[in-house]
Amino acid sequence: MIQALLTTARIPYLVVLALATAVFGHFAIRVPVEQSNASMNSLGEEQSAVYDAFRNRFGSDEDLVLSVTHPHLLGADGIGLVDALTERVEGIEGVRRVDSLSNAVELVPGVSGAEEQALVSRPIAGADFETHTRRAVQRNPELSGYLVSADLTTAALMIELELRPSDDEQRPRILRALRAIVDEPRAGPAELHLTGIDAQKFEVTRLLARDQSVLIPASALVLAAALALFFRRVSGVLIPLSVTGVTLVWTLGCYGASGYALNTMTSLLAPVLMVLSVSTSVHLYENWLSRPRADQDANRAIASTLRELRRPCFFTSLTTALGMLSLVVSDTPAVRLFGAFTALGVMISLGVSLTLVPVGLSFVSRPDSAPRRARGTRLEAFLQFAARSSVQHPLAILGVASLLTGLGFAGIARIQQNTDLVHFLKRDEPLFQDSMFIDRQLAGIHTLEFVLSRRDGGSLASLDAVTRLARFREALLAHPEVGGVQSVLSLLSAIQRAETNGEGWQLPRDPPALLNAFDLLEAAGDDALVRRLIDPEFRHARVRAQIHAIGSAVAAPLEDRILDEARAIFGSDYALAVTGAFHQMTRDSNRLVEKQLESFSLAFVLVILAVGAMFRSLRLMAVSVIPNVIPIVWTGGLMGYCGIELSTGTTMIAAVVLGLAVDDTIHYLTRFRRERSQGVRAAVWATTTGTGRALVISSSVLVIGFWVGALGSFKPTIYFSLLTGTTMISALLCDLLVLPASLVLWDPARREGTA
Amino acid sequence: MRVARAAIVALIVAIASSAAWAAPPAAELLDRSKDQIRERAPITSRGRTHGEVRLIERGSVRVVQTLLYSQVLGRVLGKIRERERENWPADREGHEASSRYVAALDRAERAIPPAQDPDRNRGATGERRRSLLIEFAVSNSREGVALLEPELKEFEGALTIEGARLIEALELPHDFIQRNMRLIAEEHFAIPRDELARMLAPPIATQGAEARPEGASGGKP
Repeated sequence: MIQALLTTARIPYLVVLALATAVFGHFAIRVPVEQSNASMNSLGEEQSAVYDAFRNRFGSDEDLVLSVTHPHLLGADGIGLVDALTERVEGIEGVRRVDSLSNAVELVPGVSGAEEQALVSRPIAGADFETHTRRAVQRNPELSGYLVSADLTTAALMIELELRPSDDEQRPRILRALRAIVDEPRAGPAELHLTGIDAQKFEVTRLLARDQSVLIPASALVLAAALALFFRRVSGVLIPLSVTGVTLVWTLGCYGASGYALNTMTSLLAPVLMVLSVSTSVHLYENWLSRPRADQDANRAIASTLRELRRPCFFTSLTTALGMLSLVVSDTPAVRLFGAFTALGVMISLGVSLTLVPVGLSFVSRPDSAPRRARGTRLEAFLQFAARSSVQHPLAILGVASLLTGLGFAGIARIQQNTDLVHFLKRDEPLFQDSMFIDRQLAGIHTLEFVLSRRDGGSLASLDAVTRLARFREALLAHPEVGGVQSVLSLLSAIQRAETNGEGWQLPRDPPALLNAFDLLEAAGDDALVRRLIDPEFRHARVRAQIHAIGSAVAAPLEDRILDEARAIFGSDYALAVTGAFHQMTRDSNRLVEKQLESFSLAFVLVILAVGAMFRSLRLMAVSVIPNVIPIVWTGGLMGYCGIELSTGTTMIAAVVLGLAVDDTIHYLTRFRRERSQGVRAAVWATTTGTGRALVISSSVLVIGFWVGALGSFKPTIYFSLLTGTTMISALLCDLLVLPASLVLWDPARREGTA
Repeated sequence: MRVARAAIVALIVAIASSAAWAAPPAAELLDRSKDQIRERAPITSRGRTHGEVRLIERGSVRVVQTLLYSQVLGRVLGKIRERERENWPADREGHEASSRYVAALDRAERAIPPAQDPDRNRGATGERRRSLLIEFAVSNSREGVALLEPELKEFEGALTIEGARLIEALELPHDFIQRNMRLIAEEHFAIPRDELARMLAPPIATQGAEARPEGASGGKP
């Protein structure tokens, strides 16, 4: 069959391959890009129901914030700009409402009690305009931190979007329009900034798309350069790259044909697969080059290579695929898709490598071995050093490895779990600067949403509920991370102030006054501001806590503390649920990390079982654990000492690397077994100096390929790339030093001799 | 003697006319058994309904009935007071009548019991709304304004008046009543002015009994 493939069937094979690639290519180029980031959500049914109910009652919580900073913000120039921007933003399709100083309404004492009045008088002009506006703003302390900064130099336009779950283009379109407004040249001293959860998600999607357009060509170039450097032959570059290209097209074609859109995670499919798919072809090519020169028949050499490597290549691909497949236990659809399709890609790559590489090799002639030997001097010197060390000083090697592993465990204890979309961005990214500016000036860029209700389903329009809510507000504001709180209390305070002609923050103190205030709220009917804070039946009240820029590491315990305090304040008669996009993101990222630990455990078991199945030896299975766990511990330690957080990006490293690192172990042990008959030390020597070369080449290609990701603009991508590459180097060192040292030390013959 | 007799007649007429609503002869103005609602329009603000305005034929009596049913009754009455001030400024004839009417509204508001649901636990019967019925009525023989506390029944979203307790009846000038009826109707119904005038005018009297008692109105006939 191999002979047929290399002779009569090779042209038909290439034609079929080209046709199939064209078909898959048709689907691959039509893969849409997901804009909503919905596939990153991993809410359970209960949490989803709470969030859906919240949004149905109170609208979207993912407000965008457009800030305007002006030296005379409250003067006619500043408010005029705020007014013009408010009108423009309201005109953008898909925007539900915009709250700003220019359209805000205050409550003032009237003939029959509290009456509405525009906060800003019209026309926006006149000598006293600034004085009047300043007084109006100061009369309404609820606005501070929300619509205007404490120093009265920055105003916020709070932009609420319509809920259009089926319109993927809505948010990108609005964000593009807003970004254009922010970026347009403007006369005068005004400064505009834009942020919000949606803006962050949009920016992440944009950066990933940009990274793809940079990283894929860069990966291809680097892979080509690395292959050229190691093999110094055109075929040595073209054949592995062809395998990579076909694998990419087929995998993305399958992805597209399955109806999925590229999301934050699966946008990494292409660069990751480019690296993974080159490994088998490198091993095949290197083996073909290394075959004894006596074997003059070209096709026989190819067939020998295939026969020798198909089993280890199958298992190395299988273990890599299993590592990836372990990601399917994740709650996050995007991670599941990434794991499943990367695993599929790895197996496609195996199939293509085992056919296209032999067919490709059948068209080229084998070179003389002399020049390769000359080129390989330094590498071979290193391999000989490694072989000598592991044979002569196995205890020392294991001692050093153990020491480093101990240090690694100590470093792992320092790792902090944190996902922070804003701090994932580089400091020079506009969104990072915008977000941090708005965070400093206003009450915070994130919001934690709480929904208060009575357990008996009764109304919250009682003095008891309002008193407890006021205590909860105070408790929230006592946390330094909380910059401001909006709730129905803000409305009640404004009503009470206007009803009593009072000043500052005050709440109705007796039941008649409170009930009158709620009567007025009810009479406000479908007023959007009222409806955003309490439902028409007064059974569910929203408490919106504005949070400064923090990541999930701070947000998760903060949520826990707040909920503990809430339990003490509200007692058993009330229920307080926490929800919202920020809570969801915090919960998702923490859950993702927890699930990744599960993924890693699964990957570990599957990979080790696969190794056991390959060698059918408990001893080799046990030995294979050592060089694969140690690099991961070292990388974990490195992360801990360098302060690199466990986030949505870095958490996948362990599962991905385990599947890759074991490849070298399998190749090593396969050769070791073949050489075993001449004794363990001789076998180690022959394996390290023989197979070691292919391991160094394939690992180096993988490392360089992963390191290309350092050109990314997103910190998790950079960390993932650098750390995965670094772990691959550690894994290679372990396979060339720790694994042979273990084999030497645990050689049954040696133990018998010692005894 | 003649003077004394004339004085007694005048006193009787005056007493009779001043008691036009409270005494049995005014019963026709309040007799809702003959009510035929010709037009009705809700009183709304910000999507909330605070009552209803109705044009009613009550036999030969024409009534503009304002049924207020609101949790912010004080605010709604405040709006009515505001409207009265605008429509009947101090220099306009009828201002005094308007002031009497507004004062009566204040008394009526105080006479209406407070909301029955202090905990605001809404349910099938829970209620914070208070109600007031204001009727401007005119017939060929007499006219008046009545303020009542209605007993309401809600059925399929529509309110029906099951009964009403009279809080106060006012005898006010014919012109004031007629103009207020027209202004209220114009504000709530998109009906051509001529047709509205026809609807608000009582049918032409056919018998002497329907004739307006002399001096019963302070305004024009």
